[in-house]
Amino acid sequence: MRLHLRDDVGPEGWVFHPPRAEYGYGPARLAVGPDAIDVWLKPGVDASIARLLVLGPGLAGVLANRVPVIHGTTLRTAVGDVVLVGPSGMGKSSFSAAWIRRGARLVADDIAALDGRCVRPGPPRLKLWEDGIAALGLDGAARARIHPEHAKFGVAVPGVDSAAPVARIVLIERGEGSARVSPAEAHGLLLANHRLPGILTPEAQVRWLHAMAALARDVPVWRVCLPGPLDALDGLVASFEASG
Amino acid sequence: MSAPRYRVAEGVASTDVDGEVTILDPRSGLYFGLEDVGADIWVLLAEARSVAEVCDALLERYDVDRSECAADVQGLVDELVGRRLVEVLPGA
Repeated sequence: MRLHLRDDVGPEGWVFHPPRAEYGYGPARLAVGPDAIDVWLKPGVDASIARLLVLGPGLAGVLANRVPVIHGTTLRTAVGDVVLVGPSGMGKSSFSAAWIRRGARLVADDIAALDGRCVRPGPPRLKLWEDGIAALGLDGAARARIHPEHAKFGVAVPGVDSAAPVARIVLIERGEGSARVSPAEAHGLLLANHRLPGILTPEAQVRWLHAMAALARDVPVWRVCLPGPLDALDGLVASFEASG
Repeated sequence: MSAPRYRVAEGVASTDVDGEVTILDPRSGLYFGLEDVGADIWVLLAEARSVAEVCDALLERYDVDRSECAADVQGLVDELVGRRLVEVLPGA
């Protein structure tokens, strides 16, 4: 795998070539292919933005052509390893923090790289907004700002040393109510969850299809609607654990 | 010359979860779904078969008129061929 730091920004702006996926944030751009991550930075840009792009979508994209990668956060809970899946901003991190506050440990944040039915453990750090840190009582935890312009932080949380089979997958949505979805529906929902479908090689696409089918058959998948206020999450976690 | 035979196109992948078939065309990255009789037809097309041979197998499972079955199978097969998910093998 190659990491290129590029400075060939032409007057026309950023130029990319398929089949790479493109990411950008203001003064930085990222292109991810099966074997390479290219990063373009405008002069003077804060290095943390490049780090965020490379370690987030960059590595997730490269990894996705090697193993199936779900866009989700995995926790080791009282009911086993649970993968929380949902679009960015839907509340995965806040829900995770509420669960960690009740004793869960973090397996991996945001990237669930599968090894069979297990998620490989990642760094024990959870990305949280400042209000989430305060509301969830994690003020005392070690933290580092992950972006110079946003109050989002990497917060140190309890992690795990070894992988364990996924016991449940939770698809997070807004609204009210929770329900288990059928395996066939779960398969479609999991397939649609891929963060970077455009960069997968044909072999990786086929691997992804079969990996999600195996999970949908073997692992209970729940659709859980999160309430808006952060203080309601504790009750939701408790009821979810009680549901078995 | 015998009737053409049909078979799942090379490189196209599929999987079955609870009787619902999901088909992936890696060339386009698109997914397609089939259920019920459509899923049965897809599974039968893992091997090269004519429409009549597909109907032979379906008539053992479903109570349906042969001519109606043949028309429905031909319709689905034509759509799958149009999407390049199934290939046509000329009759002998």
